[in-house]
Amino acid sequence: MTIGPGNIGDALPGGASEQRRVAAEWFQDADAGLGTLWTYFYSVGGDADEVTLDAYLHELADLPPLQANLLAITMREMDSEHHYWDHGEGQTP
Amino acid sequence: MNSPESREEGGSMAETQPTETHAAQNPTPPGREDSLGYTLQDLVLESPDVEEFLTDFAVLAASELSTASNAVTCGVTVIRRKKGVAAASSDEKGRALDELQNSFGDGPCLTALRDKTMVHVPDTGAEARWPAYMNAVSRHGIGSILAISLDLAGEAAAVLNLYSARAHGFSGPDITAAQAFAEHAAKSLRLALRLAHLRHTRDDLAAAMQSRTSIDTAVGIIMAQNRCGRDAAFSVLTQASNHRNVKLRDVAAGVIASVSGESELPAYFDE
Repeated sequence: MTIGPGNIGDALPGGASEQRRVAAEWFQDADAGLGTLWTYFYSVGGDADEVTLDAYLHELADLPPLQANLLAITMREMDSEHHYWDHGEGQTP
Repeated sequence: MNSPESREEGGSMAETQPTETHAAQNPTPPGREDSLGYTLQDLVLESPDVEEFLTDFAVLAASELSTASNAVTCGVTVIRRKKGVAAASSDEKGRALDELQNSFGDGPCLTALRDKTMVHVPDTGAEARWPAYMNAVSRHGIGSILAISLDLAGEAAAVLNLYSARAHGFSGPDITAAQAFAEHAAKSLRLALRLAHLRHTRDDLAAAMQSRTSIDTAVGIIMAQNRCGRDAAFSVLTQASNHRNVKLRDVAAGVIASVSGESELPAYFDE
């Protein structure tokens, strides 16, 4: 283990409101349902519930920095998993 | 499948049915629609996934809707939001015909699918619409086409494509029978799609819980090693993920491996 301690405030460039705007834009463009997004967010350790995520993605509420960072990671990872969107029924992700 | 003697019990029925009945389980011989309902239910229960269901479904449609003088080839296409297109056919010919239409980008089946309606081409040689496609299907030996949209109550869009080698292969009663079949079939297709969706959601949740367990474990390890709080430990993980462009769950697996020495886990921290 060579990784050191990090700063909680180490968010995306532009600060928290910019991060929220980027997330809202991503959600609008992506054809991902809130349920799918929340499941992935949960899988990376996110704690916020679906309603809170929904409010954040419509720029109506804030998320604690860690939750916002985990949501950003969720979006990045979903982008990299294109098969996530169109894989067939009955297969495990 | 029913035994041969079960048909004897059904002998009191007015019409002779070429299709199987479930008289063995049911003392009163069921009508044609009941029998079809049972068969479709079995298909839903026995198919492991949507693709297989659609194939069995197409085969059933072809056998139900073919008559002694008119052999019907059937294809079925389903469009699910976000999951793309699933298609199946009763035989190779049906598959080729559906693909042919997709390559043209338009035709009776795609029109039925788009407009949620029924499209009947009684004679491909005399049809004025879609001339290039009609030329092509004629060359494939198709004389008439019947495309019926399946009503899936907005869950998805689907169409049942019936091809006959004869011109005017679908009479008025044939069309009525096909519509009745489509109405029944749409319900079982909805069930099959809903089951598949639930199965898919369950698989996603199971995978999510597994991933989250690794990440929580790794966070605990970092908290112990760095004597820090949960948020700070998470931050260590997310930064490693960001900087190396490695998935968070893979970073977590690396952290766990570095402590437990489990060699089968990929050690992302040795690079």
